[in-house]
Formats: sequence, structure tokens, C-alpha cells
Amino acid sequence: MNREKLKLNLIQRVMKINETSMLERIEDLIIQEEMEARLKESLEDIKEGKVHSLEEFKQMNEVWFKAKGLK
Amino acid sequence: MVQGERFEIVLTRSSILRYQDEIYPYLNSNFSSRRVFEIDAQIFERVDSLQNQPHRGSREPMLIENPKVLRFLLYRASDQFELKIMFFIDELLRRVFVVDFFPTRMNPTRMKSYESIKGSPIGLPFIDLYDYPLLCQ
Repeated sequence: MNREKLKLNLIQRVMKINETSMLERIEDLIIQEEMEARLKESLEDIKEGKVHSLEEFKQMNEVWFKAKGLK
Repeated sequence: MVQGERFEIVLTRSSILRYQDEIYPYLNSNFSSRRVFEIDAQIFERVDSLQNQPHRGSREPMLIENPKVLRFLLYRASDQFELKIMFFIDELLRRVFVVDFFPTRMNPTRMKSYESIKGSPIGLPFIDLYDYPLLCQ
């Protein structure tokens, strides 16, 4: 089963669940997987030196705001 | 810890990109510009506050088995929006690595119309994918 089909299959199965506790367990599992994947990505960044200071974070956000015409 | 000794804050590029690609668009769609700036400034302040006593952050229960000790500070703007500033501390380098801005609550304040439900490509009721960022990838 390809990835897109698997996603739709999962969504359809979840839509049929009515038990809140079961939905909460599924949600926890998704959150955990998501957090782990995102952490892995960040740890790779650290290994590769793709890190920024707090000041750079602020500047990057200002650039983003300006680009969107918000500041 | 010696009193007054500060930690250096370091943010990963992917955490910043997620913040810009995930959090800002949500804020822009659901809050006024003024409120977006306020929230942004408050989040920045929370991150900045990690320079002092970063250990006050709670351990992240979902990542308890990870070799890194992951902690978070919770930021709550309203009933509609809440995120975790995820980080770990490197005691040797005296650094705090911010690794994620993880949304724990991003409910749309402007609900989609019934038209969007009818127009759902998979024939299912509308699901706001902001509540399921992993599905958006």
C-alpha cells in the first residue's frame, strides 16, 4: 500500500471510531511519532551546524514578517 | 549552578522553519495583526527566559525514553492556541538547544463553512490538518 493510500485508509478507519479513549490513545501515538521525527530532524541540524542564536531567530522572524508585508 | 551564570540559547534551523511555516500562518489566519505581534513577542520572551534556570522546564513525557533529556516550556495564548517550546540542556557547553515549537492546541477560531465539508476531496467531513501537522507532510 502506498503512503497516500495508507493515510486515507487510516483517516477512514479513525472516523469510524466512537470510543474517546481509543481516539486519545491513537492521538498520543501520533504525537509521540511526530515529536520524535521532529527531534531527529533538529538533532541532524545540530550535527551539521545548522543552528542559530536568539538574535538571529528574531531577525529571521522580522524578515519573514516584512516579506509577508506585516511589518 | 553559580548564581547569575547564564546559558547560551541555540535554535535549530528546522525549529525556526517550523515556527515560520506552521505557527505564523495559523496565527495570521486566526488572530489580528496586533495580537500576532504580541504572541510572537511573548514566545520570544519565553525562549529568552531559558538563559536563566532552564531546568525549570518540565520533562516531556512523550520523549521520556530518548537519551536526551527533553524539556518544554508551555506557552498558552488562549483556549485556541498553545505550544510547547521544546529544548534540551547541554551542561558542558552551557547551552540550551531549542529543538521544536510543538503546537499542542491550534483550533481554528473561524470554522470552515459547510461548503468546504462538501468539497472535501475524500468525501469525508472536513478535518483541519493544523490539528494533525504530520499528515500535512
